[in-house]
Amino acid sequence: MTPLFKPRSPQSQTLIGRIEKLLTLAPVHIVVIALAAIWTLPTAGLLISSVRQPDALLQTGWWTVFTPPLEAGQFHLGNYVDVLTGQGMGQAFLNSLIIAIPATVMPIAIATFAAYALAWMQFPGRQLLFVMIVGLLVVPLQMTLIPVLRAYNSLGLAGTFLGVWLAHTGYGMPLGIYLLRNYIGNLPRDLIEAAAVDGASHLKIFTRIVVPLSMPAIASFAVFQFLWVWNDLLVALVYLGGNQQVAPVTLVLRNLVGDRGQDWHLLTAGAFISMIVPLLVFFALQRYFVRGLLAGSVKG
Amino acid sequence: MAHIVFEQVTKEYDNGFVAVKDLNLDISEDEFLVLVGPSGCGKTTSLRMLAGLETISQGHIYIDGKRVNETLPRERDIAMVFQSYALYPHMSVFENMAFSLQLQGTPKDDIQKCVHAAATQLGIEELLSRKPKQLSGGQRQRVAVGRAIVRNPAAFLMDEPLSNLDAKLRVQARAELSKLHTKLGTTFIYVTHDQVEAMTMGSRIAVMNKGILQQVDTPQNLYDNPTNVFVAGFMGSPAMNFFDAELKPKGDALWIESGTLKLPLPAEMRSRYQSHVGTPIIFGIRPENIYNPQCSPPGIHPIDIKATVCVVEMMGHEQIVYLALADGHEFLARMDPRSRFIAGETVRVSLDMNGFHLFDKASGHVLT
Repeated sequence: MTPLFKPRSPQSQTLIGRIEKLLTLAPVHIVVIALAAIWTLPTAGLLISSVRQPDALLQTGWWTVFTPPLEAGQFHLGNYVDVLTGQGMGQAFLNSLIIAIPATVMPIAIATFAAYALAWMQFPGRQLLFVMIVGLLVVPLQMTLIPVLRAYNSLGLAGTFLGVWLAHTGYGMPLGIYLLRNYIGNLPRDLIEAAAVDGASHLKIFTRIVVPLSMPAIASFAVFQFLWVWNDLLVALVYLGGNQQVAPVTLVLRNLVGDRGQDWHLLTAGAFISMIVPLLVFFALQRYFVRGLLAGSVKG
Repeated sequence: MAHIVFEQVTKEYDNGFVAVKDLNLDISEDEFLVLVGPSGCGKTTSLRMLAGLETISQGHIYIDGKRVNETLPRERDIAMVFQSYALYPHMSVFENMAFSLQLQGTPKDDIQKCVHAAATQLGIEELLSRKPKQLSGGQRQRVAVGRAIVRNPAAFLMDEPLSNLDAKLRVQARAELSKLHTKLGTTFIYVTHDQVEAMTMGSRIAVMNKGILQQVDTPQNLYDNPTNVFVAGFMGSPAMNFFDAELKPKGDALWIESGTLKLPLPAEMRSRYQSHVGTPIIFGIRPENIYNPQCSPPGIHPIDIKATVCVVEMMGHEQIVYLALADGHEFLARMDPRSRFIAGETVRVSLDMNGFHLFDKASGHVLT
């Protein structure tokens, strides 16, 4: 069977066509490459500086390593060893994980349950509750610091991991519930009803149908929440105070800037340690990250 | 097997829209009841109320004598096949079919047995390890039915399960569902907007319109004796022809008059319709009761009229002829393929006066 119209095959796209395409896309490419360079250059500089000798670091810029002769000897990992052991960055790294992992899991667990209930369970005041939660999105974090800290002081939660976990859970949940409710609310109604007729209770529908199908949204919210908690300085500073035993990397890094402002080799190594985890999380889950940015804005 | 009763069931939504009004329906065990009607007639709402997916505003629903108005869907022992099939996309076909059994806490060996038995019955054994998105429409439909039958429920509810299939597959699936019903001997309640599906599958058909049940009867009775204009017009394709008319006495005889159409009422019916003389009525006759005088079968009571042929649709085994009276009123006839009518010519056609229906114009009810 021959088609009425000959489809345009890639070969038949002439040179002119290709140039045309290139020219129309060129501005986009240039902007994207420029943005990528602006972001990547300082990061690369940081990485190179962190493995240079302390003296060399103070005398010349990081780009001079590329001038010949290229000696492997000018690089060393001593800065990392020093900052991890001598400056308490190792303990801080552990503390950050201890803070960030529960502070990610807790809001996800609670927000997913809440999102299911707000989307699929009938109870009076459901819409009002959802509107109030969305309203919480615009409450500035700073407004809560003093009342919450006073409550923590009287409850004995100030300076403990539990206090920080609860604080991050509270701060993360409005966005989590909002994102997840939109996603879960857009799951096909027939699926939920089919499960109900098949004999599933709300809990079974939630665990067997809704959670597996909502993994993309849950994962994207997890990425957001984890990165936010990992990079957070303010909440940790307020609720953990100056206690070095429980301080996360952001706090230790800040102290490092204050105490050892001249020791660039330690600062760069410390900064890079604090970046490793977010970079790993981002590269491992970047497709969820992008999907998460779109969550709620695009239906289905 | 379940005996299902709808008693004065009404569904009114919060915005005041009444989807179903005073529905009374008694569905016996092992019956294949088809709920049919145009979209928005309340048939799906009725089914969903029976499934427990929709609250009941007024009235009661009984399953096997037990009132189930407040019973949760999972406690009603019913299975439902959805129009979209609603297969769980993250589960394999096996897991889809095993889901309800797992929830009941059936032992693993029994689940294996039940699922394989159901899959064999439907011819989907080789699909058990696939995911729903790897299946064709027809296969998905079978899996949806399979998911319902593994549980061996008291009743099957089906909400337009064939409407997403192509025409050929639909005919095949229709016959398969009928066979399945015979084999299982369980109550089937089937919702469709397609009167052909209703006629071919139902042991009884309930016709609904605008939330009100119009008539419940066997397919043949429904077709032969519609109680009102809506049922008469809805069942049958092409639809029945209607003419606004009046009964007029002329001497001894009674005539049905509609514009230029004047038909003498057969003598034996005269006493029956005598009381309706002078009131506006609707004369209805099905396209298959209009014949070409050259090829009309014996045993009919023909009255010839003149009409102009507008369009002829040749179907092979029959032809659909669009005709117009002298006053412009159009009607359809379903004729023998040998009648060589040509568009534009004026012809004589025979109306079978044994096969017409008279309705009251005001109420729409059939005249008795």
